[in-house]
Amino acid sequence: MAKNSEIKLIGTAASPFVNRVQFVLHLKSIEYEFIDENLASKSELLLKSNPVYKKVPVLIHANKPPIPESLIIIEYLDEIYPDIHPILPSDPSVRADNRFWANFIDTKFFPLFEELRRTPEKEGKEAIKKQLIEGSKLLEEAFVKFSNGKDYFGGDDVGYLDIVLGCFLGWTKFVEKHNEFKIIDEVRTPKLLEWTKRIWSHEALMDAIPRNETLMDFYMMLQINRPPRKATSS
Amino acid sequence: MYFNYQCFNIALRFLANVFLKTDKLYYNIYFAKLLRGDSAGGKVGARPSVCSPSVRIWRVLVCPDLAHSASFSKCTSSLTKEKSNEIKLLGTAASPFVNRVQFVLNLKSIEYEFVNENLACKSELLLTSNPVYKKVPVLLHANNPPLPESLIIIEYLDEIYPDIHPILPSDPLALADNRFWANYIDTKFFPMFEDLRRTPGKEEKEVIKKQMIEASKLLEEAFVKFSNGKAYFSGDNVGYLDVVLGCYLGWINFTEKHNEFKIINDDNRTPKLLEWTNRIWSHEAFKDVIPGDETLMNFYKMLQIYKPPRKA
Repeated sequence: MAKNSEIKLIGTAASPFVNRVQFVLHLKSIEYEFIDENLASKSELLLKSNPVYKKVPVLIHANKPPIPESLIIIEYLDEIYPDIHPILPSDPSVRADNRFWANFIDTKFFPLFEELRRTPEKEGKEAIKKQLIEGSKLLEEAFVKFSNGKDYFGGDDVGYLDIVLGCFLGWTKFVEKHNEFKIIDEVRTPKLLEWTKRIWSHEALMDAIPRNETLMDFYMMLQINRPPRKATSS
Repeated sequence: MYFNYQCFNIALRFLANVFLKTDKLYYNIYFAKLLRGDSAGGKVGARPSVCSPSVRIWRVLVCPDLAHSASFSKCTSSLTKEKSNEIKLLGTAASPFVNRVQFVLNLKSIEYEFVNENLACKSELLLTSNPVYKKVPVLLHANNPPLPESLIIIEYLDEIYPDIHPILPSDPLALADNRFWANYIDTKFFPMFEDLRRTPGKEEKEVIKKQMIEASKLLEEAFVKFSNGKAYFSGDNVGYLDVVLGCYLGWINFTEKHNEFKIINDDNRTPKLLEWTNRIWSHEAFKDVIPGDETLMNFYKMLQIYKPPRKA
């Protein structure tokens, strides 16, 4: 285990974006200090470290300026520790393709979860569920392409997209259970389903993905602080 | 029968370009409006649900939303001047995201073929190259898979041509900081422009203008930090953030003029950014890239039709 007490990670257990960084730090065997943040009452440290967005995760490395944004943090860690479990592939075209799908997951796929939570009407919710299902089909195709018959998006071992998507699995299961539908299922997304089992049992991720109870607490906080929109009158 | 319609349509567009002297995009808007029977009070942006067979056939001729529309791109693009190479860029002149990639290709002295795309009538090439988003720019490099998303394209070009005018810094921390601000510009700053256009009420517009002014102050601070007294975000030479923000200058000027306020061309609030904009405007690799007011106005009119302002 590479000792490095210079790294601090400001975050909260329920955030998949924070989980990503934890996953990478574990894969690279980097020790770090986890600073637990209460998002309903943000600390001075967080507000100073990320004044533009005021969000987690934020990585603080020694005396250097803090780094927010999970995907940016992952690339930074991969650049300063390139020899220990490289996360991004070295080929520029494959790197670009990985970045494209990470961007899709963050800007198109995952925002649908919050949209689903905040949409009040049943019809509106059904429309979003359909979009999530369409998104899952694209991700199944992407998985088949990237994995090329192997276990992970990264091939034989966990790579960038395994981390980027894998850290949403806690919320994916939560949303599936509370909305009674399947986003990842054995008929429509069989390869992704097999992949989720591997990710859940991966040593470096096991302690990072939060339990249902943690997610429920976070969900209740969101319902209070960012309640669902009011239904429009018919 | 359909082949004859296609030839007729191609000929018609060519004649429109030559005799009407209009940008083919504007021609499309002009005829599209004509087809819908729009007058000043007409509803634009939506296809009429009922129209006569002759109008429907005419509509198909002018702007077929069909798989064969790639022929238009190939035909019309041959009218413009391009250099053949193993790099092709699918794009449109009015898109700042496309301009970014052009800027980087120019800085790195890379020859490329520009494949002009009509966003009101997307080609088969674009739809198959970027099936997920169906947007420009898309970079086609030799036999590699097509590459969409301007920031991803820039990093790719910097990785395959690292020695010619490097765009991103090599230090991991500076790299992270550059990426952060590019993300801010694309996800927070620039979307406000479209929001401003689509917001109907005067008061609501004022709120957005205030947000844009606040954002400009953040960008001024960022410029001072990054430039550290030098001419550009990246120091002595143009770099990543100069490209990322610089390519919005056409739209920034356009928006300032049409909404009568200053965003970054303000010598009180953003003096350093203002000086920087003058340098960017006169930079050799940039000069032919940023579109003129007429091109932007044509694009603006197309947006007003296809993505009209929200109802008050």
